Amino acid sequence: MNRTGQILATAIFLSTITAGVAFSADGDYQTYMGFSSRNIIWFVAQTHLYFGAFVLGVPIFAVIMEYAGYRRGVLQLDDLAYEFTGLLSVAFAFTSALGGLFLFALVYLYPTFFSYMQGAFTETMLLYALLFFGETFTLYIYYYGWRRFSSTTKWPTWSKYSGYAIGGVFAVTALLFFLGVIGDQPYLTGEVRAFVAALLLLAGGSFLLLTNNKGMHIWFGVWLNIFGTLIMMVANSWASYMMSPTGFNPDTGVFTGSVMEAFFNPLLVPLGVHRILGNIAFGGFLAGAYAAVRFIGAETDKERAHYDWMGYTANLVGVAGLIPLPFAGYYLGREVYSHSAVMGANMMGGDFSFTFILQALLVGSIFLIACYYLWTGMTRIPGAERYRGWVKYLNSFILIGFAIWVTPHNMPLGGAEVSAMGGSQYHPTLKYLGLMPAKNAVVNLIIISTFISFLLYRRANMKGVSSIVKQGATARFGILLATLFSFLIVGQYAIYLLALDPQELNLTSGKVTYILPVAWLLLATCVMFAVTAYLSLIDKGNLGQYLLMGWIIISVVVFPGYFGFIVMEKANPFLRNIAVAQFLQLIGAIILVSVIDLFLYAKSESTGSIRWGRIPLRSQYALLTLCILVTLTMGLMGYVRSGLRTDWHIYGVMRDISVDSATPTNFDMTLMVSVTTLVFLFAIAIIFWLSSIAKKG
Amino acid sequence: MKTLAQVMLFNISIIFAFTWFSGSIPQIRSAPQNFRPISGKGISPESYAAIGGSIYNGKGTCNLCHDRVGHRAPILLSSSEDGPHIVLRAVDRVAESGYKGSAKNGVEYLRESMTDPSAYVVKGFGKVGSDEAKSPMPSVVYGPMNLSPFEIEAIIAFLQNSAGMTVTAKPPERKDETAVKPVDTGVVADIDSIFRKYGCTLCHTDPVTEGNEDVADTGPSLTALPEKYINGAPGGLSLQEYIRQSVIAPETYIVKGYEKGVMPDDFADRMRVSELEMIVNKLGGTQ
Repeated sequence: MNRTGQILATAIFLSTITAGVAFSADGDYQTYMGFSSRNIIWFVAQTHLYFGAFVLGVPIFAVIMEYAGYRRGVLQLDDLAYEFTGLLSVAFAFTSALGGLFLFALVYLYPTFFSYMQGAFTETMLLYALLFFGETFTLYIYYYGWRRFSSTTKWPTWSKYSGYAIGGVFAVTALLFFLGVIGDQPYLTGEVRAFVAALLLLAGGSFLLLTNNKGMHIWFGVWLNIFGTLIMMVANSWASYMMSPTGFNPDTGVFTGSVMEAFFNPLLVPLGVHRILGNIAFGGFLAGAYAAVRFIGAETDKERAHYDWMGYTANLVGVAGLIPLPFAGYYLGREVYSHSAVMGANMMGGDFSFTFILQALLVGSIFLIACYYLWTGMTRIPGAERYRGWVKYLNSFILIGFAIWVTPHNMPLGGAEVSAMGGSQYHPTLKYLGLMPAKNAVVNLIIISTFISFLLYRRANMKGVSSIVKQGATARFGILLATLFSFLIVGQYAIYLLALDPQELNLTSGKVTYILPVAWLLLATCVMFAVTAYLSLIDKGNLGQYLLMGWIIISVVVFPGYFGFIVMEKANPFLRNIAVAQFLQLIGAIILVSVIDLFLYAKSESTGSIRWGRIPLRSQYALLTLCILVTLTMGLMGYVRSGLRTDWHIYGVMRDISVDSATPTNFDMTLMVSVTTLVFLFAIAIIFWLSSIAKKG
Repeated sequence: MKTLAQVMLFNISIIFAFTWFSGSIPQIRSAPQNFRPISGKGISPESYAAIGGSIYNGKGTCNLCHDRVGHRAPILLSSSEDGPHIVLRAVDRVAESGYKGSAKNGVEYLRESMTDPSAYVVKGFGKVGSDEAKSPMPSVVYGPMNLSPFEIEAIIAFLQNSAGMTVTAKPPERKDETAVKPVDTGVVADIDSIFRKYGCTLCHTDPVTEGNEDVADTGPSLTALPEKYINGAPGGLSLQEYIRQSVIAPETYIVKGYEKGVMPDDFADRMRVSELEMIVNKLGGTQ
């Protein structure tokens, strides 16, 4: 059965079967051949999610690669994008087969629960099936039309302006929606508006590509991603509703709200943002693993060079997705906490505290190994030995950050353990390292160390800096544009904080003393941006970069790492704003330093070309490890997200009264995550193999 | 093929290492904390307050937010920048001109704060964006806490006791408790989960961790029973028979120093035979 047939069958089955389960008895649970119902659902759902992430992550990766290749005229990037898109057809079949299995298993094993969900979400379930038509069409035309739509011959001018006009309509709609002019329903919160506006801008922006055949091809790729994102958001709404239900009668638990109310539940957007970034990282690291396997099995130097380059590029995308991921995770965690303090506190200070230690170990290892790959990669770059001394310091920063990150605030303890700690469930010193100010500070430290590793890698074969003054208007414009952008994202937040009435955060007016220092800090960072830009423009770019990075370490690591604790105690609601301030400053600094670096080393003397393919074999195992770890992390965090509901199918509404209602141990969890990871990686290996024989054929 | 085998072996090694490490750390299996209301017949105020303390720090999860660390909600158990102890503060609060709730006295205010937290929102602790019209605290009657009237009154008893005041909160009449539907959360596989499921450690010293000392005096200690009854259990029973009798017919023999009517007498209806036997084997030293 082809893809469309499968979708139709799924949709028809969905509509017929859900009509039947409405009559199921309350509290009904089924078993299948004596297996634990929860384990069946867990296994199928997790494997389906891995494939879902693959078919959502790879198109993002492919379109970025294709666009970069198109803009820079690098055919190799275009080939890379095509090679990965070729994997999608088979992956889609796996994904939909697992999706169907998941649906049938859910309907059969948890009929009462499914009946409730169907009652609240019927319309979106049908929409979900319909959206697949859009995705299938765009995928097929994107893949099969690759060669057909490769010409870069310009289209007539009117087509360009038509694209601009349509893009403009989207942009205006996005703006009006964001500002609240369109739609006044209470569930359209600021974050929902921002998310939808961003999606509209992406959709509108894609029309600007309609200037030639190649641009139209990328346009299809963008729409493939838009359909993918919509599909993901619809499915996300079901999962997030189970955590943060809305529109039900608290006395009876009966759903009385509208489908839109249920859809736009409080955790929809935070979960969506986290998953999109996670899918980018996942797509990148998976592509890296593909390249690594090909490198290991390569028989010629040419092949090795190609797959080495592919692995490096894929790792770059993976890390780019990974860097903002801790912030997205914080955002999601914060919203979970806002919705239910019980769920939030259980997350890092209760049953899941050890699970979060495992998570920190995995994520810390991902950062460390991604850097290790870069450091190893420097061995194939002549001149890189100049920077070898830096590695031990960067490694130390990452390890220190890692150690603090894995330290829990508290965990469930026995009486003897409480007595040993002086009658408290908190360790007298280490408890501080488990709180968010410490965590946010070290996550920033790890990201800074990773970013510096990238900078050193970039500069490895470059000798001496170029004069920006001599590069003329392009360099000046580029640096000023980056400065303006960084200035804007940080400055607007500084102004917001300066004008912030503490009462908006339910704080007394006197608490403004905790807000102003952060606002002034942001303004100081803006000044540092300006100083850095000025130094760059007078050919002291290196000095500017060092100054800015030094300042950023103070302003996003040292100061918030101390001041955050004071705010936590005295003006807790403001703590989340500090996290935002840290994120904005870091992103601003990364952008500005990167752009300056681009011009600073644009015309540097080369100490030799990168010897692609001459990288130690262990680096390829590092790429493989990254893929395994990121898959394990997804499984583990999926478990945490779902497990936070403890013995509730729908938190606070429908209790899990099955024999599987207990929260399993971490070991039980790891066994399941490990088995699903193995099955997934094995299936992916089959997909890679099928793709390779298709290529040979 | 050789490459694929190498790669798969490497994958398996990494995954195995992760699984091994996960198995080496302390394991927690949390059974649902679905305590049935405990019978209040003849319970002393101190015991009732101790049960309240256990609920405050356990099922009710009150201490997660009403705590100095984080300070997400007003501090209750001592005087602080939020005011005096909550029991004293409650009396003053209902007399305030700005108070719009329906409580008439301090105890009613405490009850109202738990069942309808938004009836009065303490300044500085409202839900973000609600202009202090809503409290971020969920009602303890619904959702994951799902406290019974017995448990709510027990928390009030605990608060009164912690303020050094006379405990006036009493367990509600039995008829109030029957409104709570008994829920069978299914068979649990380990002894620790059984103790949690049936709320044994609310009153007895936890025989697994030997913790929970704060409520140990509500019921007799369950640790080291084989040593304690080495010469035979009360009534000429074997230790195993005695434990079985104590669970399903607790009024048959009351240990000296403890009160009648505190332990629920319906475990015979609620507990599965396999679970009872696990308890007997664990406490009787025959596991």
